[in-house]
Amino acid sequence: MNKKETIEIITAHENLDPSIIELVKKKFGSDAEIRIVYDKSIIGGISVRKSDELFDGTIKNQLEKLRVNLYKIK
Amino acid sequence: MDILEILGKIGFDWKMAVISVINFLVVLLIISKFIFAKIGESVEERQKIIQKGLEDADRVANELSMAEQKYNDIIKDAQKEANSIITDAEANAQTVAQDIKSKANDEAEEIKTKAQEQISKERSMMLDKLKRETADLAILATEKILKDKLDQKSDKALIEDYLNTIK
Repeated sequence: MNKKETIEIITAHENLDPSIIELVKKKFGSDAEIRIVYDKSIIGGISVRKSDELFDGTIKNQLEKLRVNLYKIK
Repeated sequence: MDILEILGKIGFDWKMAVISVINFLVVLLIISKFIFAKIGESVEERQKIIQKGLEDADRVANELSMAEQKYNDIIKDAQKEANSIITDAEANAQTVAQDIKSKANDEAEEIKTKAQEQISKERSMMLDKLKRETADLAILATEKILKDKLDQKSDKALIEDYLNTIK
């Protein structure tokens, strides 16, 4: 029996809207097991990890990218 | 009246005169034989000594003139050599002075360049630090605003937008 694939979702707000979970399943695989982690440090947005792939759409990540770009400004 | 008669009247005896002349000639012969010859020899010897003295004097004068000429030549050569040494020394001193000046200029230029590089480096580091601190402050302020203002509804819209970008 094959082990079910797990998709880990990280959000900043508790009580994640079910429509978001559905949208994640639609994008990454409807049969996968969904595991939700709440982490306020990400501020907002979402991070989705499937196997070795990570899709980081958190505000924290966006701000870090912005910080790097600001550092690069001449 | 002839001459002999006149001379006889004044007491002149020609026989005695003849004898006197002969005597005179004999004495003259003896003198010239023994005394004049000696005097001649002596004079000749004396002339030789004087001549030798004159020759020696000429030789000494000549040697003195040559020595003087040699002295003048030596002085002239020494002066020439001294002038040459002074000229060389002046040229060397000028070269050394030029080298020192050139080296000092190079060192000054190098110090100036290093100082400018250091200033530029420090300025760049300060600007970089300022830029980083400004960026950190901007990010920190944005984080704080978003933490305070981002509600669940806005966050949901943000999440949906992000998920829809994933193919």
